[in-house]
Order: sequence, then structure tokens, then C-alpha cells
Amino acid sequence: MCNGTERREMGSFLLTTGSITYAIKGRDILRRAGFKARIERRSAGPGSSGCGYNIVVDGDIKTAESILREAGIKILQINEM
Amino acid sequence: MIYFDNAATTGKKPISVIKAVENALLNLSANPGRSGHTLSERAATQIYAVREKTAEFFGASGAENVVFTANCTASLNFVIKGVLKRGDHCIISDLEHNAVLRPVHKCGADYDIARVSLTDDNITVENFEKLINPRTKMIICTGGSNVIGRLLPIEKIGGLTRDKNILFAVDAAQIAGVIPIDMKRMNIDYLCIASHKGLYAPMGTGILIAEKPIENTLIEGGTGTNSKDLFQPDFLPERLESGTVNVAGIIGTGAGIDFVKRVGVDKIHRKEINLLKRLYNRIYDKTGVILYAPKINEDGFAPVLSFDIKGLTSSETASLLNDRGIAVRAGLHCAPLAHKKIGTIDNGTVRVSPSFFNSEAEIDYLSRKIEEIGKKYNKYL
Repeated sequence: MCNGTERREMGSFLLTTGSITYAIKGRDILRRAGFKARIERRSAGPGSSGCGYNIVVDGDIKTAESILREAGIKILQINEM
Repeated sequence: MIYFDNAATTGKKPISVIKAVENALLNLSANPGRSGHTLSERAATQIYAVREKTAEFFGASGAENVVFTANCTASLNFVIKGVLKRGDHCIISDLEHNAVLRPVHKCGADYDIARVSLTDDNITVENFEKLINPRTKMIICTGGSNVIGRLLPIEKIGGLTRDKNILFAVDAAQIAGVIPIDMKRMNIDYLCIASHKGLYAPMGTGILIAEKPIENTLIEGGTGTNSKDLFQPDFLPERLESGTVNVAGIIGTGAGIDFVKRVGVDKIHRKEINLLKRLYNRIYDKTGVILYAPKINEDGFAPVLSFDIKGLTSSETASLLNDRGIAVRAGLHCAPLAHKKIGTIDNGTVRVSPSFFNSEAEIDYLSRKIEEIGKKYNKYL
């Protein structure tokens, strides 16, 4: 994993969303845009705010992020897998 | 039993709704948004699909603004108590159900009651406008009376709230699925829906579509995410959806919307209004029958008609109809303001509310029984 400033632009990424609703919405939007995307349950761990849902997306993360933000989906964090 | 109490809940559900609910109970009994296993994700995806369908059907801006509730009353409480504070001012109509009146009275905001004209929509809008003051935060009104069926000009009232920069909430209990609703075009900020009525979903289902924020929450609890945070999420729908949602009911709601779309809202409304016109024409000149509506027309009415038989209480009439195999509702219908308006606060009315599944033959049977009861029991004949 790496933080936002170090990450590569292509690859597999975990996008942290605020809720299952936004995760599904984001997954569907990305799929419609041609991305391979799925949802993954995020378990509570040290330093986390609790359980949640991530979108796992393969491909150009900059484009994916831009599409999601344009659709009003708040991305809390992006991590490279 | 012939069921004419569809304004309380649609008595007959489409087979497609029943099958969808059955399928949900058989195959989607996993908690959506709580776990990571396949069944949970499948249920969550299906629930999200109903959010999308609902948003599209009512012209809302996004699926995430669709909040599933237990009923329309819950939706109205979320809005009224979530938005209004002591010191705010709001305006309601004189046809409101207690689902609006009681929470408005309780929430501590000041409120005024606008008179609805039974014949002229422009007068109704003027009556709302006259009551707006600098503290007015919201207009909350029914889309159609559950006592006399009169529709309110919600698009015109929405234009008024847009011009005056105040919020607009609509109680769509009697109109969702019966009258076309487009939240964007009508400038509706909060739409409260009884899914189990005009959307033909199971009882225990309601929807709130919130295009504007809801500041205060009525219920706090688990949302499946950010569990270490002491506060509710600040985004919808999870902000208002603590606890396990009614998966089978929501899936049934989606099937109900599909049914209404397949048949067509206009067709449903036209059929139900034509049934009421038929009833009206058969009983309006019968001795002892009092009808609480001017001539019914499609533009101005939801499919609800109130009447009484002179010399009988509304409950007595409903009971006599029940003995003859007909289900109608008697009393105040939880809407005392409407009864004060039409002068029936002491006796109430007998309410007939058909659905798409009622027939002309059933209406004819009802009209014969009303006439029969009028002749047999009317003390003044």
C-alpha cells in the first residue's frame, strides 16, 4: 500500500466510501464507464473509524476518481493494493 | 369481501409484488450493509436498485436521497422534526392528516393553516402566500386529501416556495402512484410516500426522498459503517436508516413501482376516478345520502369519496356495509382539520377509496347497498 502522493496511476486500488449505498453507486458508475470494479467489506482495525465498504477498482485511478467525484461520491481514502 | 379501503392500504397487491416479496424472503434474507458475504452484498445491491428505481420514478436527483422508512407518517416525522426548530415558522393546509398536524404541533415551531379552495387552485396558492413571513422555513402539505380527495396544486405551491426561497415538503400518501410526481419540476424538497398504498407494496413500507439536508435525527444507531464514531453519518440514506431495513418490503416496493409504471399512472388514476364518478352519479340524488364533494373530475381529485347517510353515524353506515360484504372506512380518518372544514367533525364520514383492481360491478353493488341502507335505516324517510 502507499498513500495518495506515492501511488501509481494504473493498477488495483481500494477506494474507501462512507456507506454501502455510495459503494454500490460508485461500483455501478465505474462499471458503466468500463472499469472492473467490485465492493469489499472493510473491517474495523487499529486507526480506522470502524467497519465500512470499499470499492476495489482496476485501471486508471485518476480517471476513476474523477468520475466518482463528478457523480458526487465522496471518496474518503485511496490505497493501492 | 369487496374492498374499498385502499386509501388506508391497497387491499389487493399485484401478483408480481407477492412473488417479489416471496423471492426476497427465500433468497435475500441477509442483512444488507452489515456484512461482507455474498448474500449480504446481493441484498444490498437489490435494495440499491430499488433506490435507483424510486429516484427515477419520482424525478429525484439521486438514489442516495431515497430513504426507506416504515410508513409515510415516519417519513413526515423525519422531515418535520428533523428540519424545523423552535422559533421557525411553517405553513400547512386545512386538509392535513394528523401525520403532519401532530408532529408540526409537537416540534415547537409556529405554524399557520392555509385554506384550500375546493374549486380554485389559484386561491389556494394565494392563501399560502399570504401566510409567508420572514421566519417561514417550510410549507408542508398533502398532495391530496385523504377525506375528500381534493388535490392540492403542488406544482404551483412548489413555484411559490422556489420564489420565496423556502423549503417544500409534500405528504404524498394519497397521490404517489396515482398522480404523476416530478420532484425537480415541482420543486419538492422532501417527498413522503406510503409505499403500501398507491405503490402496492406490503404494509410497513414507506419512503422519504430528501433533496435537502435533514439536520436532526429522530433515531440513532447502527448503520454498518464508521462504528467508532459516536455520531450518525452526515449523509443519506444511512443518516436516517439506522437498524435493519425491511428487505422484503423494499423489494416489494420495487415490484410495485414496476407494476405502476407498466400500467401507467394516468391509466390508474383515470380508472379509479371513473369508478368514483360512477358511484357519485348513482347515489348523489338518493334521499338521505350526503356527498362531501362537488362533481368529481380527474384534474382535481385523488380517488377518495366521502359520504354519509342521514340519521346514521358514519360508523353505523360502515358497519351495515360490512354486514353486506363491503369494506369501507368510517370516522375522522385521522384528519380532524378536513372534517372541521366540511362540517363533519362530530359524525365523521364514510370513505370509499377504490384501487386499480376494483370493478364497475363492485361499484354498482356498493351503490345498491348504500341505497338499500338509506331506505331501510334513514330515520327521516
